[in-house]
Amino acid sequence: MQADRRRINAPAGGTAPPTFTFADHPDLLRRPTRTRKPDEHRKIFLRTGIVPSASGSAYYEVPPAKPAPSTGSLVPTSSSLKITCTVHGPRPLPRNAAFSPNLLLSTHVKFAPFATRQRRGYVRDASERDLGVHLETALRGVIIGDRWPKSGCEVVITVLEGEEDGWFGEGREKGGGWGMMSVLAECITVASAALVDAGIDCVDLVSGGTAALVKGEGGEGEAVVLDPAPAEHEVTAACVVAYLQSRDEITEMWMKGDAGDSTEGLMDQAVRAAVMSRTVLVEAVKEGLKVGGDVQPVNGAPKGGEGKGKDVDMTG
Amino acid sequence: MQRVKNIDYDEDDVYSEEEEYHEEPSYTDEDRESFTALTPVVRAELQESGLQASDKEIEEALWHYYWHVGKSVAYLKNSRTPRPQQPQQGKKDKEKPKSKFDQAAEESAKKAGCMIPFPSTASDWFQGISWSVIPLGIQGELVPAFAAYPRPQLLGGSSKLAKLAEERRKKAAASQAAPAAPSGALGSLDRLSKSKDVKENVLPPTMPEPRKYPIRQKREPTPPPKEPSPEPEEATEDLPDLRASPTEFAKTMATHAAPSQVAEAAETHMDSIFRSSSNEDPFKGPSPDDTVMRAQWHSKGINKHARKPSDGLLIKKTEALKLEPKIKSKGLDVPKLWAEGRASRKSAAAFVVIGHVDHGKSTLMGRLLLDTGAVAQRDIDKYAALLIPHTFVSMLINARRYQKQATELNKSSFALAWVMDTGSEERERGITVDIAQHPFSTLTTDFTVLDAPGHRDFVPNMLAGASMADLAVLVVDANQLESGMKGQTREHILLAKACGLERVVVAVNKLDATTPTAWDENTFQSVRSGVQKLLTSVGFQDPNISFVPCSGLSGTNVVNPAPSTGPTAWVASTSGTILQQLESSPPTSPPEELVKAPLRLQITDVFRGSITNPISVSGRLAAGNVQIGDTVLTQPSGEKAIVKGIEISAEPREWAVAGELVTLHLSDIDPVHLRAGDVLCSVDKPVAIVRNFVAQVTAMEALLPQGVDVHVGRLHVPGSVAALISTVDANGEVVRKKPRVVKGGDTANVKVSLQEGAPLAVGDRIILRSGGSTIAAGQVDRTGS
Repeated sequence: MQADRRRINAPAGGTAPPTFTFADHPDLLRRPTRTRKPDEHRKIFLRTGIVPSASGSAYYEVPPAKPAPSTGSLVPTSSSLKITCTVHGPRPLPRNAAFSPNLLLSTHVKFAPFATRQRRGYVRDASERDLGVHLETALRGVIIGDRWPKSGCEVVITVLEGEEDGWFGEGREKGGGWGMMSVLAECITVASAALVDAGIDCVDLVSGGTAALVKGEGGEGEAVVLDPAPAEHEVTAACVVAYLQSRDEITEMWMKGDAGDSTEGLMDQAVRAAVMSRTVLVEAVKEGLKVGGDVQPVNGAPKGGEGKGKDVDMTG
Repeated sequence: MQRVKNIDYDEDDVYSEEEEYHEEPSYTDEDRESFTALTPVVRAELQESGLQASDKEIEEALWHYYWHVGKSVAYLKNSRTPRPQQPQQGKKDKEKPKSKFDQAAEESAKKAGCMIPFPSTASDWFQGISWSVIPLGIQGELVPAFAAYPRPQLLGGSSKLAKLAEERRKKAAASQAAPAAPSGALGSLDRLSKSKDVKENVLPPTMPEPRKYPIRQKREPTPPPKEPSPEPEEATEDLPDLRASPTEFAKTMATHAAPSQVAEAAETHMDSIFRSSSNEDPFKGPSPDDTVMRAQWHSKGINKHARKPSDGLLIKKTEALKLEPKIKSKGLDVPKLWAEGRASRKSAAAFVVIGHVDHGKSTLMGRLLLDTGAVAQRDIDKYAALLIPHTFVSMLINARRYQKQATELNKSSFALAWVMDTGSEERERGITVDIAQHPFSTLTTDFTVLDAPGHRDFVPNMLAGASMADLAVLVVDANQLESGMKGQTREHILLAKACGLERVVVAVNKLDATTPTAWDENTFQSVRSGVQKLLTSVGFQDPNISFVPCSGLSGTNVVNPAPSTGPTAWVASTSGTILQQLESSPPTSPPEELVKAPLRLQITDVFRGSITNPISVSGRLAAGNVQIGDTVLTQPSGEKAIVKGIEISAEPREWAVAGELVTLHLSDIDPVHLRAGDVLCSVDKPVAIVRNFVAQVTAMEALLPQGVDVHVGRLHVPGSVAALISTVDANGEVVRKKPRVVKGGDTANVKVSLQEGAPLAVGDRIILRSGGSTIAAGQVDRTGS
């Protein structure tokens, strides 16, 4: 890995204030617990068309849990994901590029330097490039590439706030890269929304979902949870899928860890998570289509029963 | 831009589709019989299910289903039940001009014995067909392959398509309230979706659910899941609402929100950050600047000044100011003044320095100016100091020039030349490019030096210099006579003669560098004889030629006479110094008629004199006189200008007369109308613009009717020798009419036509050049065609 010589880099280290152990603050060093049910997904905020200069864009957010546990510390106990995605294209390939009968898709996933507790560099590191490859695989399966010969399309994702890899109290070595799994799932969803916003033809809306096999309460037994927050669990295996609900297809699957017998169940739960995130995706896309018409309330209550199990007319 | 040619179609190429296809189905008599028989039956069936239909609809349905009562009834039911506007829409489809695609589809549908609303699902397709004969074993479940797919549409992010999509989106939003009829192009596609709705309503239970997870359900080896994998349909039923409200950060990105909402969002955001509860508009009241301005307005001092202009007096004043004060002519009688002051005035003369390149013209002139005190030694030292960084120049010179001499001397030699060579290019290349003029005066005479370039590429500039001069100083390098005789020494002599110069002082230069010994008299004598032969052959008279041995670099015998001892002992007996020779040549005083003649001045240079004198021209007054305030006309532009000031030798004057080298400061004219080579003339008697003229020229090379450059002093115009009229001998007698060629040395009358008009008068000296060499020189004989 080459060093970043073009900038004066900040010292490697944390972006959050340091935490010190105090006897009178036992809560501080207690692992946060999952308050949701195992098959409950976190709430999502998704909006398209946030970057006017891009062909398409979307913003994805998982707000922190409403009743923030008051530990008296400045350190947030749980992360809140924030991802922006911009799509540039389809646009003509550079003059010197070879002929391509299909749309050339390129994906960039980059964490902002302050996105995670451990500071990120300005140059994409291996894990970010890896996420980019996964994302490309997921999107390649939905885009109807042969409608755009000799064109290119760039999907640029910036993770403004990333999922934690594990509970910070365990030390940074313990983090097994589980946060990446959730981030990938959300990258897929947000990229799908941005692609629709850009008006790129897709066979379906692709949505990402994660499920994890975690150790049960007290370290006994194992349970499958949807949409895991790695800080809350001791994860043994996790699975990400990019799922097309209308076609019942999976364009991308990434399994990590040893799930043993419950591999199938893990996958099913991941698909289920994808189906759940798709509901938000559909609503966001519909909302984006209504630009110019009556304005949707910013944080209007979602209309019950609308868009469930219905196909979306992709007139992005 | 229209990319397609506007093709003119023939009338019969453009056929109207409506004419051909927009026809009601014509029924035969047989058909009508069947209609009368079957229509009541269908109506009865329909009324059973509580539906109404017009005769026409029933007939249509029957006709399309080949009088199959059951199918017709089913169709009409379908068209009634789901959407009340359905039949109406179908009718509209009919009325629309059908595309060829639709036509073909209909044809094939008829052939297949099928009905009009296209069956897109298997159950529709096989409706009414008995399945009883098919053995159970081979009965299959038919799953619609593309039932769930969204209709593919050609859309994209490219700007045009995106715009289209945007428009369509808007249209869709507008038509949401009142759904309009589908657009024509998508008629057949719309029909597909229609039939889907029909299916849902008529036969809901017979349609098997499309099975999901087909592959995974086949595989059984893995331990069965505790609960059956949830059906997606069910899953979507109980999917929780996952939409969250945006955080403060996300609200800042709310671009979709209405402006008020954005403001609200931003406000709440700012509130939450700064915890400021004041909702006051900070821009409500007057700004601090406004307050100050208002306070100042009440003060008396400002009002005093500010109120005054309102009475309209100022407008008049400014209008009066707009007119530039005109330069008033003093109305001097210039010829009289000139005649009166003739005795007291010093005589004036301008001389041009000519010679081959690198024979030391500029250096000799620099020496002349330095020794006469026109240029201070300080300036020369400055130039010498400037030269030091230009070591590459001196290296170049080393190779080219005095190889024996020290580098230091080379530098100083250039320092002298730089007095005249002021352009950066001239200094860098070490040669003169344009003519330079510099005044100096002795006790008896005011001189103007015109330094001409020696290089053959700049002969036009040399011509400009020669046309302004009274006499010529020919500089010949004593060591390089041969190169000069072949090159520009010879050409310059010819041109000087052609320009009308009579007197020439030959400065035999660089005698301090002769081989084998310096100041070798034999070298001088051989040069003298050679040059004299050339000069006389050209036509210079012997008394008008004088030879001066000198050294421009050391300054020997230029202004200061050579030492009478040593190697230069012979010099003093030969002739005086160059300055003495120049002074002894009688400066020609212009005749009085010339002074009284109408003004003629050929512009040598147009430049910006200073801020007060934005446009200045310089040149030699060929005829007439001029004084401050005179209005002059420039030709060929034909614009008038007012003479604002006159300078001669950098000294302001009230007036100037013919023969003087003047700088005129002009006003009331745009600089675009002034070019070097134009002629300033009096308004009363302007010089004519000529395109064709006859000239008597002496050919230097064979002259044919050909394209030539016509040089008149500074001016040069492309033109051609249109015709050779006659050759004449020395006495002006016609030798031969219409010769085919004029040989070199012969004199001939030729007709010259110019590509563009030039200000020319009879008697102007012209030089014809072609391909970089002079081919003929002479005088204008008569103008006009």
